[in-house]
Amino acid sequence: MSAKQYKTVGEEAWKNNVEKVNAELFIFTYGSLVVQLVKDYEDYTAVNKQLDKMGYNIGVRLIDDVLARTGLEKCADFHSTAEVISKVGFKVFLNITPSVQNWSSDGKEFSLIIDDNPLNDFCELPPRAVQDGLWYSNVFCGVIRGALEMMQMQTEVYFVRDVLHGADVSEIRVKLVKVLDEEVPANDE
Amino acid sequence: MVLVYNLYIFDRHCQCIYYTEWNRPVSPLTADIASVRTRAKEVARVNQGRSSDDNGAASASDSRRPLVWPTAPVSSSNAKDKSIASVQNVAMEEEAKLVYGVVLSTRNIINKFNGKDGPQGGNPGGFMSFATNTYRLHYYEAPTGVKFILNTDTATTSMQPVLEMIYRNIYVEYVVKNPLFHIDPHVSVPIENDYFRAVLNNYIREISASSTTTA
Amino acid sequence: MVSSFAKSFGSVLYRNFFKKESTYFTTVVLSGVAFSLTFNTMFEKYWNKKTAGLKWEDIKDRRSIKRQEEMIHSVFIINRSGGLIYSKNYNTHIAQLSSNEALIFAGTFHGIHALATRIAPGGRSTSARDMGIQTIDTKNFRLHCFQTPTGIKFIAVTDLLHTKLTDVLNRIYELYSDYALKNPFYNLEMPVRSDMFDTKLLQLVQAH
Repeated sequence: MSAKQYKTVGEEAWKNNVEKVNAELFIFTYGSLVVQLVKDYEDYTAVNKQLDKMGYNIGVRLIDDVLARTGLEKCADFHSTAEVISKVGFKVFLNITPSVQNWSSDGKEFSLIIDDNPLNDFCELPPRAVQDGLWYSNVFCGVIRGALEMMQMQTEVYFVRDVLHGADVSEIRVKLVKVLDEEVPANDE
Repeated sequence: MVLVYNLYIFDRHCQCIYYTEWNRPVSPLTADIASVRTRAKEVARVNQGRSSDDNGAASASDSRRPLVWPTAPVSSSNAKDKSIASVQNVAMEEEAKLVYGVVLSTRNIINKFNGKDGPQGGNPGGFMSFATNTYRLHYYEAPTGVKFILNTDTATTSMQPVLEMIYRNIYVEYVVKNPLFHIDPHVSVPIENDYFRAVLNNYIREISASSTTTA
Repeated sequence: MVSSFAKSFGSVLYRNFFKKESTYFTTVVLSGVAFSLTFNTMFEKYWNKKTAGLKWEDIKDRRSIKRQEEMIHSVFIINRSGGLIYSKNYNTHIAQLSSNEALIFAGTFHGIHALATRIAPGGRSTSARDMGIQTIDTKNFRLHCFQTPTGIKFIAVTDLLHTKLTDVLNRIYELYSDYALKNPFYNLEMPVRSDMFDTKLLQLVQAH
């Protein structure tokens, strides 16, 4: 499928999406969650890690929802995976389509460029947090990682820059570590 | 009429996380030790309905509630019940392994016929079903590697839409989206979700009653 | 100015074309042909552009299974112990198995064929004994299997239109008994190498 087709799939799924939760409530929830983590851990690196873990737990479930809703099949290559993440995944859940850019020459790494991150609405990071490198939306990284792992892809996902740190756009780097083999039953004859 | 025998759900770790049956005269779950020996004599009677003297898990199942597995251990002080449950567990595990092995080998040779086999698995060859002279086994694999296996009578040729429906609208809705169901991507967790059971059961009942799905 | 030009143009036209009937006629015919030629090419170009990707040439390959309906892709014969004793591909609709892969296929199929009888969800002790896999349905093809009472399996891979292949497999069984079993130099359970069998089988396959 081409990038354009993925776009249609994403838009179609978004349209049929019945809104159940008010967006502000979600932003409040996420914001207070991050703040609580900051209070509890008093260490921004640890908070990043926690957000990533939470995202991971979301991702391993959310992937099935995406697939069930769109009827998409397994991607043929990592390029189409990138397109699906941006044009279907982000579209369905956040109604944004980050652009896929900066492919590495081996085709195993790409960046998602987000100009308008809904989680960032109303959020201003304190200088300490910027300095110590809190990635406010780090949950995304975990979500992507978890979802891709369910599709047999082991990845590293991390923020490179963030609007909240003063950059003009946010950038998430996705790196394919390896494609996992299907598990076979132990002691299979 | 569609005669649906049973349904297995396997997760990506090759484990059976859900099993349920509807019209199965003889199954590892109804077999207790005593009746195993007398089974041969009782066949006719068992075929007419589950024999009322079956103990253990079977007693909990009146005709409305189909048997499911894996279940939480039977909280019974009766030693006999426990031993029956463990016998059933072993038998069920064996059967699940057998089914998984057969299905996976079949899928793999079909992938090979399509020149698309590889260690990543998946179902690129599009294995849908196989039939013997007594039953037809239908297979659906979700892109995340969850596998649904449904056994029906031989005349029912296409249950792909049904299995897809079970995945997309029942499994995802009631299992994946249930926050209390622990999805650990590295460990198998059996589905013990009453809503899921109920919805699935109703759906299968609906299908069994309708005549249109038979192609 | 304009009218004088039109007038002179008209007179030129009259002198060269309309004066003589034969020239007039030829002109009409020629211009008609020229118009239809240009119109045709232009319309065809437009049509091609509009229907790009939808035309028969483009989708022929995708639909070839339906077009060349009723087609047997390949035939396998597996002996009693799961060894492959005959295999033949008749077209390229399915991936060609290497000889090693074909052997693996035979062994695997032999195994699942036997194990499938043990799944028997309808009850093992019902009057109809489970005889193992008869068909496997996939997205692209259907695999048919017929097992003789002696345990030899005849397998044919066909398109999805073939719903029942019992007759054909029975015919192959007959051919096998004619050209392999009845040949005194044929060793039981060993690969079938007979030109006559090949030819007869090819005829049979082509007829279906």
